[in-house]
Amino acid sequence: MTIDKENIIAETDRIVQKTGTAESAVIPILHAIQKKYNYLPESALRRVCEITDITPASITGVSTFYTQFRHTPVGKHIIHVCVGTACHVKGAQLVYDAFFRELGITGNQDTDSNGLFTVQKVACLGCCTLAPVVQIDDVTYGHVKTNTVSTVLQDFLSGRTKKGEYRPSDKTSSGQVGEIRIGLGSCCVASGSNKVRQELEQCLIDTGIKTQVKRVGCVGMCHRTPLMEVITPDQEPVLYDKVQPKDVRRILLTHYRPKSLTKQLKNTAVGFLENILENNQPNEPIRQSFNTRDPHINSFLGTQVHIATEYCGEIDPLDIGEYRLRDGFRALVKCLNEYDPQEIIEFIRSSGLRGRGGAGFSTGEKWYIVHKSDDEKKYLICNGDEGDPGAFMDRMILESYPFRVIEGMIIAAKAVGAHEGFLYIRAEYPLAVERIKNAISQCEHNGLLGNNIQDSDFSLTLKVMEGAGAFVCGEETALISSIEGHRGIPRFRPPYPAQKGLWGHSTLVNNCETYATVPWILRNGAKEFSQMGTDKSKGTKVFSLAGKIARGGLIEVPMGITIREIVEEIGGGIEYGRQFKAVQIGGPSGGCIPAEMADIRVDYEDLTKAGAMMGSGGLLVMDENDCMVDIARYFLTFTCDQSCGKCTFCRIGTRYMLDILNKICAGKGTLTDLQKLEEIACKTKQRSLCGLGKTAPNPVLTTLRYFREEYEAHLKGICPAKRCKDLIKYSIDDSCIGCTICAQKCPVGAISIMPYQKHIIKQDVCIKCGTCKQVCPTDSVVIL
Amino acid sequence: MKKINLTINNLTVSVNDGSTILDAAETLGIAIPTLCYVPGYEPNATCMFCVVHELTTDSLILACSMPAKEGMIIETDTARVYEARKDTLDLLLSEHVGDCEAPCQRTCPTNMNIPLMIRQIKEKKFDEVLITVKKNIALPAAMGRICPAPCEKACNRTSYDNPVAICLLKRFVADRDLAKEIPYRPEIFSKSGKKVAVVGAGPAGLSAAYYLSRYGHDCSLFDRNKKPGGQLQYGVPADKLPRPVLDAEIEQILTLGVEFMSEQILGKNFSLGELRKDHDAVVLALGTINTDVVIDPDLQYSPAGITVNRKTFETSIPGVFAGGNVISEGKMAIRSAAHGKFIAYSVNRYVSGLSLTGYPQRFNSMMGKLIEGEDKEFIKEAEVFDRVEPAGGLNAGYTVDEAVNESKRCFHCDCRKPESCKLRQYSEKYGADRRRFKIDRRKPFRKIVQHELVNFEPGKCIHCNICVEITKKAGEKLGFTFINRGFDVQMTVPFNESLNAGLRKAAKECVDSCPTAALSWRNGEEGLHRDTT
Repeated sequence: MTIDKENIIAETDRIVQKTGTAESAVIPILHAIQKKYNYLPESALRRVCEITDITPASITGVSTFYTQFRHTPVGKHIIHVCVGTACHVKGAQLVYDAFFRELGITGNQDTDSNGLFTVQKVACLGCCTLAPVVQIDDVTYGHVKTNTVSTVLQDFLSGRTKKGEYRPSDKTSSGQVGEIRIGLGSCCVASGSNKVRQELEQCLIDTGIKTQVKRVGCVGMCHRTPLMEVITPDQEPVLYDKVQPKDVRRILLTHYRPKSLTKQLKNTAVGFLENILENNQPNEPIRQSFNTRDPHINSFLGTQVHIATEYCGEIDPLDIGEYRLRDGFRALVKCLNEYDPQEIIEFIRSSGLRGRGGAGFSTGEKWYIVHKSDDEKKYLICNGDEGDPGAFMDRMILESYPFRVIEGMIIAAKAVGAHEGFLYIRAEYPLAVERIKNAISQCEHNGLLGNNIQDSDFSLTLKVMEGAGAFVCGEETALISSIEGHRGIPRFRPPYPAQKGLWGHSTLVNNCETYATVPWILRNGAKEFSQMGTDKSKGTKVFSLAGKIARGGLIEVPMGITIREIVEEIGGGIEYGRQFKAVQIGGPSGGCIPAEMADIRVDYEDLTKAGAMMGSGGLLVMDENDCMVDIARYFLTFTCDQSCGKCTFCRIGTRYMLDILNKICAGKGTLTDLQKLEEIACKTKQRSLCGLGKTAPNPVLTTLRYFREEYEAHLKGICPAKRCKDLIKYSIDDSCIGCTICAQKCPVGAISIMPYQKHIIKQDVCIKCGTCKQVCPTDSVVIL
Repeated sequence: MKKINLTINNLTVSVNDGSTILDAAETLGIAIPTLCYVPGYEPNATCMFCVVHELTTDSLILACSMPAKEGMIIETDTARVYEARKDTLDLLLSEHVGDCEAPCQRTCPTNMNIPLMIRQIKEKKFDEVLITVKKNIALPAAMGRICPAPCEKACNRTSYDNPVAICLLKRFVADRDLAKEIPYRPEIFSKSGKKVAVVGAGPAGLSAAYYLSRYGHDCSLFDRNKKPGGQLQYGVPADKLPRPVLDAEIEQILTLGVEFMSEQILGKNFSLGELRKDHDAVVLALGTINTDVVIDPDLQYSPAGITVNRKTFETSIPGVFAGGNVISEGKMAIRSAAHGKFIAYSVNRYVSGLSLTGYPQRFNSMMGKLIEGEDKEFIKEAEVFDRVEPAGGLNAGYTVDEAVNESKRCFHCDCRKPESCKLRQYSEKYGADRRRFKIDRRKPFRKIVQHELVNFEPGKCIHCNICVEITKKAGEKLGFTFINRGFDVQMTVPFNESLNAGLRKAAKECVDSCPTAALSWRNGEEGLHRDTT
């Protein structure tokens, strides 16, 4: 594909006309160019330097810093294999390798010979409960296995699954009875809720049934998506899980009678025919349905307290009217009319709210520092750059409660005296970006943003800034650099952003969960909030619960709850009845806490003492099949890749740790390596410049602390969990019935077809992809 | 303006609000070492080297960036600070791709600066080049004929075709000097009045006598034979080493005032006790000896020979030193010659009343054997033709043209900033260990020679950000930028343009401010070479 240069220049000029020529426009410009050409042609970048304030040094530095940007042409479609933590423990690497094999991509290439597909890894798509997840262009596939890779590609090419555009829901009109709620969080969308919604709308037209179809944000029960809830006036609400389009008609007819007789007849006939064709019992429930009193649902939702996620699964994320009906903007109005900034800050301070982004600094204190700064210009930033693999709280909050985040921001802005704010959101979360932009524009139209908000003398404008693939931008000073249009490099603190932040001005940076908690506190009182939790950790915390858990999802729990309660009561314990081994809390900055210590409370100090950290709230559960050395290596691979490279300790220290971990996982480690690993981990923790480097050793240090014997086993060439490829081999035991399926599915021909005989795996050919184990009907493939 | 009071190394100081710890220390005249900081620019806070210990918080803080706060108590030179700085250096060295000294120089037992010698030949600086050679080798014409040349075995050019003919080049330099009416005579330190006896006039003894004389000491050289030279005189075949050449070269040593006492046998004509009585120090360079014969009851032996301290070459008797084959059997005359040089250093310290330290060992970053393709980087600065063979045969040696041609084959693997490189200076000072955090596979060596004056070696970059800021401030159209991130972060000219295009205005400031030799003048800093003799 050749693109002529003049065309590129004209296109670049058009792009710059929209974005402006400021230095800070560089990331939006690069996004726009890449959207147009699928990569960044050099002639476009040079043109940008000619017509803007952006220098060649800046555009070269920025475009090579963020992983979203590509400098070479790519295939027509891009396959993003998620290698987030949840996907990792469920075999994402094997899936990644399988795509390469399936597409015949070899060597250093990442694109197939026809230029149709480019395969890339992506840090985390935030659909952890559907792991392993793969995204091809805009279509997301969940639960992908090595042996279903070809099916996924066929499905994509057939065009059957399309990204559903988001249509605003119809307003309630006369004659409608009840409502049907469809979850439209990213997890639900990824598992096909758009198809379900399309089917439902079609069915309503066909049947003439009048009811309101309502999209709702994340219910949190991501393990059972897509979810559909039917609410009729005279019945208990009924929630259907894992709904497929073919189930929709039956669910509908269970609750509603079609309007006309002919339609009734037709529907009966269709139902009858379908039953015959599918050979189903006529009255069998189509999908498992359960009402909200179901004990599973009860325990999943029971111990939760919804503050940031208030009205979860009940409100339409983008219906400003409904948000208002549900107490929305009440806190804001109070703040605008009744409270002065000091009073608001006092409210927040006395509530004991601490930053939900990880470090846990007192929110009230931070607001006070910005408030008392005599800087003429102040800024406000919402940190939605949730980069932790295995975490999706920010995404869910931004997607499901955009108005609540905005309300929290306006209140904070008034408290600190800022009139300009940014929401920095990961580019990997397109739905969150779309909804926040939509919500901002609705707020502007309703006089909730802009000049003289609600006729007060307070004004605020909010802008959305999309990230471009850099975990380190979650660090506040790096985030500020990124908004300013630089490489996402952290700066030395002090000065802190509250003193000297964006463009040198006093800046308040809070996480989106923090902002989303603010309205509740102001409505219900600081005392109500501070009654929940522990001595120093108040209120609630949102976690994304994923991994080897029966019921994963987005949960909000009171502080002080134990890890065991979360895992066993809310999460329903370990899936397939396996042994609970550990939780990884806080992602790459956090640590692994062993099952024996699961009675530890969710509390900033307690978790830090255990070597982990609250982090932004990823909670990954691991079972006996997870190798703790491999987990440490996984996180180090991530942080090493995400290190900005600025300071010596993080740049080289993380790399050195990874080097040793690779050696240990390959069975080539020595006792000296273990000592050196510990030594450099401690030094990197103490001496790195920013939070990324200071916390990057935590996964290593905690696994060394609690699972040292597993490291020692690796030194002897044994991986107890049988995960580390170099230390295991696949074998077929005597229970083999000779069905030949494994031999047919083996991608490298390591098993010869021998009908009715015990099959044998040729060890020198085997690539340990695990396909044979997945397909074996008699479970005869064992790992030695 | 508001003043901040703090204490640094027990001295109180009052500085303006906003000053850093580094500023405050400077007002007290306390130097805190830095790598990524240049005065006149915002601190970069990248290298993490300038840490100091703050006692009220018991923490290590970055002096370049941390604002001084009221009541701070700072220590800049404690053991903890030293260890922390060393950690930084060890890490930086683990990713440092480049050699301080070329492999040939490191391999040469005398540590002669071979790349410098070759550059001087290339530039036909024949007077200077002999000084370079004789700084480390007292008998270059002889060695140029008989040395097995370990330097050539280490030569990186071997991976391209054949090693540079170092030994022949050295011989060319020495022969050319001996052919002159008045050969080179080194500058001699003023007479010290100290007397040193050297027993044995082989390579070790001659070498010791030569350098002792240069230090200004009076040397008496005793030998059992009639003529000086030891094995060179009485062992090596004459066709390999023509005696007129050897004699002429030895004569250059004796003319420095060395008194040669022929046919004098230790234990027969004189005893060690007598020598010690008459001299301030004694050097035993006896060659291979029968260890059954007792020279002195206080002298310790092992089966290999006389026992010495391997650093200082001092024997069990204070003031008596030994080297060459008398301390252990060796085949290379150049090794014995090197011992002579090291002994002269120790003896000089001894007679001057200084503690014995051993010959100063420089810190050396080493990248090890070239990996595939790296010869292509080095050949950028060398001619591609294969080794020049002397047209007149090996015995004739090189003509001027041949020597100059051969010199053009040198890869110049040595660093262009061996003295001004701050990383090397501090590595030496803090005893850094480049192997401590060694990573399995190093990054490939690269050398960019597009600029008319400046070389850029990315593997030596410590990512300090100084040059990026300098080019930005200087208004370079392109300048420098970082690309990629993490361990793969690299400094480069935007859009892959040439170094020339990137450095139109700020080349000098960049080279001068670069804390390593990532940016260096192609012609090096040769005038600065430290004289260790």
